Amino acid sequence: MEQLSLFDPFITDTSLMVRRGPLPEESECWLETFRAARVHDGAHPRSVAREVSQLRSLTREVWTGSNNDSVILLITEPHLVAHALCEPRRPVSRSTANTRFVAVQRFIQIVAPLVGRDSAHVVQALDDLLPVRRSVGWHTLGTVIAGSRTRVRRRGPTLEVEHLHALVDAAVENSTRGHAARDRALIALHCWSGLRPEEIVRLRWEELSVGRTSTNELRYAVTIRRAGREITLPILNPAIDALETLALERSGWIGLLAGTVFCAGYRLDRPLSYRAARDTVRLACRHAKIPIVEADELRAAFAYWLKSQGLSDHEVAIVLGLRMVRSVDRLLARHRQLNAQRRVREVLP
Amino acid sequence: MIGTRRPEVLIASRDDDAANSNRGQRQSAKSLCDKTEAFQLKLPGYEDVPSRPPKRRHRYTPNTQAIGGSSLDPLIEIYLRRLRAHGAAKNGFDAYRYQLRAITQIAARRKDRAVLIEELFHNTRLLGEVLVDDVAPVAGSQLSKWTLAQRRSAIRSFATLMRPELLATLGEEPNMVVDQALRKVAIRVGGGYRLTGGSPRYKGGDVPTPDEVQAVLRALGETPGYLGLRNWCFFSILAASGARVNALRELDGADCVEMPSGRMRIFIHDKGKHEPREVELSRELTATLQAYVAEFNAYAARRAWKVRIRIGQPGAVWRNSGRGHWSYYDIRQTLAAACKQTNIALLRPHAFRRAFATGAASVVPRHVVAQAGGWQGVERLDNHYIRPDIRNVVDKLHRRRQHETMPSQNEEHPDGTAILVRSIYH
Repeated sequence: MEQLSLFDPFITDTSLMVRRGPLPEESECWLETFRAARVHDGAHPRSVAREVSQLRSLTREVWTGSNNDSVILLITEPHLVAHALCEPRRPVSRSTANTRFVAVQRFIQIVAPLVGRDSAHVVQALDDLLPVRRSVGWHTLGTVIAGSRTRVRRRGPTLEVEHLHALVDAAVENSTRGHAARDRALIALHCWSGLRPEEIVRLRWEELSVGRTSTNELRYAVTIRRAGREITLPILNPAIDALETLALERSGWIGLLAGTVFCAGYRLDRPLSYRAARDTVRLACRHAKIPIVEADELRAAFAYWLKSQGLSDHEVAIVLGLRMVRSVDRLLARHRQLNAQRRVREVLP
Repeated sequence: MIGTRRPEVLIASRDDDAANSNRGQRQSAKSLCDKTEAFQLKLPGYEDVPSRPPKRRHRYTPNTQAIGGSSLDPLIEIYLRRLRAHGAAKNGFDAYRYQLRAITQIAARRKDRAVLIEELFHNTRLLGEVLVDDVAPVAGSQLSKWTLAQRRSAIRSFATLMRPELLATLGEEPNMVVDQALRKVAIRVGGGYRLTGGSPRYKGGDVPTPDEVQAVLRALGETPGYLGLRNWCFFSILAASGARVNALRELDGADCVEMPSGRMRIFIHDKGKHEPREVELSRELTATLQAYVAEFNAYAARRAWKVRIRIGQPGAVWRNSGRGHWSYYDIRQTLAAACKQTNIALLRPHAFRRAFATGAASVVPRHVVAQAGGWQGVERLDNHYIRPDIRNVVDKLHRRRQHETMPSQNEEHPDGTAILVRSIYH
């Protein structure tokens, strides 16, 4: 009856301190091997960088204080890894914990054969040490790892179309360094297109195209690569006006210009950073007297406007470049809740 | 003069027996002491005047000894640590801890000795009996099916999170062991099993009519000062949004957002949900909330409290004093007083949520009500919240009949209501 946790000897070790900086040279070499193999397999460099970062932090968590603080511990000591995944020293979100778990599995699959271990055997040993809930599907083990699912950052309020107009107008007031056209176009694309923020800051003039319909009307579109496939998204009037103004400022026309659309400062070769774009959105919110919102809320408001124009859920998904209609439901969930509240408020005494 | 009198008083109190001394004398001596302390030194051989210790505020402390003792099973300790790491909410964490303690205590009562939880997994018969034992560990009363369901959830969660440890000793999946234990004490019915034990679950409760809600709200708003504004606004939001009382009670100033249109949106954290629910307040409620905030802040300034309510900044919104959130106990007391004032049967705050569901479902589709009130589906809404009043049903039918045909010519029951009600109830 003296059964204790499998991980108890390590829990009481108070010498475990979170360290920063790179791991020892040997570990960094293994991580470099892992990185090269993942990139070779076609993984996105940014997701690989995140996996490597998670492997580093996990190695520091499982470090026992001995000299053997190598990343190879992740393969040779599955019970330490299981402990770190089950009971992390600092609270983590569920998504971070999932990323860690996936990173460890990939690391084992790539590196274990190189150190003379059977990767399937090591993964199985790790699975046996993790909590499991009952599962009915053939494809799921029901493995449970630590992590909180509650939101850390507060959500902004649900926006509507008048707020989008106010934001685009506020972007002009906001600019003080001669970037009025750029900032307005940036906010307009956030509000009136299906582009995501990281796609907006990387946008190039070559990706924008203009065409004429059979009734001689101009139509604008943008072609980008998302999740390994090429998609074309329509651009609507408020965004077209802002982009044309920006193109005129660059002494050209949409379809004829080349290079980065949103430049940092006055250097045309350096694209705007993601953080600078986010700050521009926040500043516009402040000028429009709207609580600070994220790009998700702007996309949701755009999706709601599309629905109000009579588009079906599938058509909204096409305009936003979404592969699954379920994503549209998720985007519109809060608008639907607010509409339901208003409908009930009208009828209740 | 005062300085010369004090030794006489002290001498008198020394001569008398301390136990029999007059309380009035003590009080007068104390008041004299207080007044003369600055002028006279303490005389040797005389004791201090007895003083009453300050009254301490009673705080609730759970009776851990009664439900398993303070020293927990080591596996339960590890489980609780792991449960916390998995992001369990405080209330759920407390409930599971209580249930696991209750399980070990019931097992100890049945075996007349301390039983570790691991031993229960080895003895499936005992585990099953413990899981359906419906005698409360402390009070000895019969538990509800709801409590037993929570106990099963706790043991399943335990089996899931402690699977690596239990698998090593049991040799089989712990969740399967729980299933076997439950089957041993369940009745075989058709293609499955049915559990016994526990009093039937009480679904829902009284639903106040719209008139009763309005009357209570009026009574709540009659209190002068910020209290009246707060009471009316709080319960009006409950009635208009169907929010849970604790979700609204714990509203933070940072969760209130003023929109450019002048309306206010509040984000309330309902139990069991990861995302807060956004609720838009009407213009009237927004104005009242702002008036309450202004009134409270003015009152706090007059009382020299440091605390202020600030919309958009962290801090409790609903306050009863300068300390923290308005307590649930005080909310219930406030509502009870309003019910008494209006001669309405005692309501609980959750009745407003039922009133919201019932009132809204009578005019809009149920899925809209579920979206508006934050229910994840219509099942719970149907089974626990929507409770139409039979008199409203009769009124509706009567109005419809009146609309379609001529008014009733029956002299005894001109509206026909009494006959219909009697035939439905009897």
